Amino acid sequence: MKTNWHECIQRYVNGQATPEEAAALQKALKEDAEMRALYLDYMNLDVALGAAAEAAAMTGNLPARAQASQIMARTSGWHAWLSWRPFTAAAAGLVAGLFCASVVWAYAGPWAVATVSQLFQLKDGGFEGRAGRVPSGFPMETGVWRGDVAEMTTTDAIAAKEGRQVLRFIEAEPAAGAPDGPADGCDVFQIVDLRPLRGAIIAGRSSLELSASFADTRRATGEPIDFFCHLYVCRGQPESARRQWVASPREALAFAAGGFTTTCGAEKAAWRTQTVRVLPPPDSDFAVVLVTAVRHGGSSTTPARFGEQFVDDVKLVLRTQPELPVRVTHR
Amino acid sequence: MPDLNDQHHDQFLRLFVEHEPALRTFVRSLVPSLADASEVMQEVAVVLWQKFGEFDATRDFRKWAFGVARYEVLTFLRDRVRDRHVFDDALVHRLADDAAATEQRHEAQREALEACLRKLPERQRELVLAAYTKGTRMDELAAQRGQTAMSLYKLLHRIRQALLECVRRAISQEELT
Repeated sequence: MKTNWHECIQRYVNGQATPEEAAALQKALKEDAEMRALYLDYMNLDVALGAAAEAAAMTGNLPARAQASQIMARTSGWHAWLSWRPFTAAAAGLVAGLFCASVVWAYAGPWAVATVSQLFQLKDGGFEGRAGRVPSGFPMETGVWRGDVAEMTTTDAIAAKEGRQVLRFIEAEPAAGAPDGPADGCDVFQIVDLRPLRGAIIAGRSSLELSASFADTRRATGEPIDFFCHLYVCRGQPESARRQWVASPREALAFAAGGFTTTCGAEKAAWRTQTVRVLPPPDSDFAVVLVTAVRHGGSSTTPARFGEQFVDDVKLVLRTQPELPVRVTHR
Repeated sequence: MPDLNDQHHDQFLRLFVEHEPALRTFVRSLVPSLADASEVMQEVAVVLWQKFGEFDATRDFRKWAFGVARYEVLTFLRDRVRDRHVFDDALVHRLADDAAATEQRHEAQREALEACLRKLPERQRELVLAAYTKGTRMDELAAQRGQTAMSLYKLLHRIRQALLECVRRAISQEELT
């Protein structure tokens, strides 16, 4: 009998319950305090699992070097608190590196009538500008894709998400500054100059959103691979980003990363879009955008090889929320 | 409207973020889906901020926020009264009372979940987290795993039941010690 109620409650939680099942559940909940306790425990678990999944996406599944970068050097008490309470932070819809005064705006964002502007400072998000290998190493100037072994190309494996070309991840290389370190991720970077936007970034109300669409076109299920996009916001000269990056990426003012794991094996490859968001201070100078394919769970100096994994349609937008109250309701 | 000074703002943020998980669980318990809970939570966050100027700092913020949230849930549900999955007001009030009374236990369960997730076999842990990742479609997840959606749901039911038993057990052991 108990098991049936477990099943019934879970069907309700999933949105699978028929109206008849919902009515039966309602009757049982009214009559039985123990049932209400069971139901409330399942609801609590539902919320906690959502927070755990979000926290895992932000931290647990990140490659080690990204995890290291998550702990921001310039912390307030809030950041320290967030670091210790990842589940709570995730539940609040936060990402590591948010500035404390911006939490509520980020939280209330979806309802707000926000202004959104595409940042043309991010160049060639569709990888259409040229064909062939991206130049090797970390970028030395803004507006150029550079990184590990990857190429801008057309492909028959999947229709481009935007335009004709896509970026194909080919092979991982060790992180800059650690030539003997692990080579698990094929990283491709672009530095984006934010200085022209200074008048448009409003503290606590403006967010930078990075989105990228990834595809794994393997037909058969294979070794798991993680796709990530990272967004770092920094102060200083963009031209010095390389030195700053190699020295310590954790010096960024704000950071967000998001990703997912794929083993593929689907009949038809599909694009999946990942979005991350940070709240930049108004005097931000530049952003570093990173898109990467990473060998899942690995830490090996044998370079991870890819070839059937792609990214396309990378976008960076500035979203500015109006001041609260964000929505007027008439009751 | 509260003054937009930093101190006031920080005070609200600190309280809101501290109590947000409890508030979200409270709201989730009263509405049919996670998506509904997110929608109501957006409204609750805005109303709490709008009314924060009236909040007496010597009072219990959580209790005050639960009161606001209960009102917002009832308003939300009244617009959906024809949906036969929506519970009636009497049950919503009863569940709200029970949820408020059991929040400490739920907080302990949320704390225990991390350890319980670690006890799951890796594949099960990855599956349940994938299922709860934003944007995941169950039919696509099932297809990726070569399963039917129905068999995936059944597996998830078993995993969730195991997790629930684990967090309940963890709390009762904590109470014993």
